[in-house]
Amino acid sequence: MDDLIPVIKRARDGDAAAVDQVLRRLHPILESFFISRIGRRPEVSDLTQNSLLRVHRGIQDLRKPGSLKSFAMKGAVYELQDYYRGRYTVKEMLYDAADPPLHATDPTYAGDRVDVEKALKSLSPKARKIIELREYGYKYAEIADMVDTTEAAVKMQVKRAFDRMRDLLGGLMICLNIPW
Amino acid sequence: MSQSPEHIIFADEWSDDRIASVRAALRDDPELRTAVRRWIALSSAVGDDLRRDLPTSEALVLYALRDTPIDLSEDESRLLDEARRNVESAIENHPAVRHILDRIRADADDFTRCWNEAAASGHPARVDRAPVPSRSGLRLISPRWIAAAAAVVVLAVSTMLLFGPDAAVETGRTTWTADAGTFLPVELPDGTNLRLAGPATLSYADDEPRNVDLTGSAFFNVTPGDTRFSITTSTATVEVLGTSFGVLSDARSTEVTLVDGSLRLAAPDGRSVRLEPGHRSRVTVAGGPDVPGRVDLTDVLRWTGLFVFRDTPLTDVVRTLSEEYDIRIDVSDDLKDETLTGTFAQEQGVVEILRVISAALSADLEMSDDRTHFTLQR
Repeated sequence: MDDLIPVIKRARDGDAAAVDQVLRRLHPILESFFISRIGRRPEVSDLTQNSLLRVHRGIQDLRKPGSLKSFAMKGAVYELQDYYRGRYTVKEMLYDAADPPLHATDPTYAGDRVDVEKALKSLSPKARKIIELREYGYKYAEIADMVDTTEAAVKMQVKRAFDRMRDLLGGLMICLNIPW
Repeated sequence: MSQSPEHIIFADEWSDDRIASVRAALRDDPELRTAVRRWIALSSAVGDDLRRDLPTSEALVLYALRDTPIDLSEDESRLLDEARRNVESAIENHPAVRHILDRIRADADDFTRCWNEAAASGHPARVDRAPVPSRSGLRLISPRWIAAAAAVVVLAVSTMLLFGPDAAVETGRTTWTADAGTFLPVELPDGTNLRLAGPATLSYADDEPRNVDLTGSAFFNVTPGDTRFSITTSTATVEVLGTSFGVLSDARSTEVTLVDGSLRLAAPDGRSVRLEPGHRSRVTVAGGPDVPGRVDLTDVLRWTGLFVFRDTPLTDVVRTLSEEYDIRIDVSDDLKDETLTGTFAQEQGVVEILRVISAALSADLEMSDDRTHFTLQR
């Protein structure tokens, strides 16, 4: 990519054509990166565009032309972190303002706060770690990769935590047939 | 297929059908609802606790990469110094943080791999592009064509519209107004096309044509640009890079339906959602935005005066046009599996619309003398 150095210098000086050339060279690298991290999802296009926008906005402040790689990399990794943190949780997927089966005004909701405190204390460190990663925005397969185990083992930890919570707080569970 | 509460908790992908089924199950079973709600409360408490202790994404990334040879700006150095203690405290209190930092470093390594592959090959890295729907489908109109079509519509109505009596120009600001019951196509200086559905008003500062204020409703086809395009209504803000979508707003709510691209819908208190194509969300004075839900674009965007088809089966396209124009349209068997993607203005008229469709399908269009019966066939 050394051939890009003179182009980056011109881009840094405000040459619009040079900026365009730099962005075009970065586009497939960014796209390949995001596909590698999150798979072939529609969000790849958005993440790529956002990253290019960061480069476009910041290229004139680049101190050294050779820093483009780290500059682009930081922007891409920032975008990826925002993406993970912006993923919907189960709570958000099930929430419906017009029809809130999980709404706090549900008459059976009272007392949950105390229950949560009790249940939090019962979590094992492993289970807490997995739930933290899940709430941060990672999927179970990603969590398994991060903690160097299998997806099944990760889910087993979650199931144990759920069962422990259920036993601790009481309440009957009924297995349902939910036709898809 | 039998389901248990664990299947709800373990779900990674949520289709609209799944969401509807789970909501129904939760409504019908109080014990299931209690268990799932408690689990959600527990995991949300864990998540809230973590998020409270973590800095911004930028600070976290800078901390993770602090020992790698990357250049930091003055602002980044300051951000890292300010965040260092917070992150180190978070590492002690939350077992997940080390893994998040390791993952960030793995992300950075993967970027370096992609970069080096591009450098080694002497041309841009091979890209396995995000998949395009593989069904037999027909994209009638590219975004550029839509812009051209919109320009044709503008010209067909009046070439004076761009600077004519419907645009009020005060010093440094331009305002467009559509009367009740009318549609007004507008092209902005950056090439963005929109269609006001009256009563509606759109205004912008002349030096910031990509930041517009909207009262009422409009359909936007935003040209990709160097800066984000933002629309501000009385209840919400919409931000996009380049995309097509509809905004329905009044004094109490703003509803956004996304056709192509992506956008973020934000309430005044900062809560926001990201929409995917084919989804709709709403912000009201009472709160929001709602979790986006999938909608039938053709049906939901009829108020724009446009027919919006996206991978729509030809049979559904034909049904829509038949109902709208009170005509009969027959389709030969070899066309029935075709799908269409395109946007038409209702004022184009059914004959012109069907001529475009038949040309794109390489089909023949026959029509009766009274233009109430049409046939598409190869």
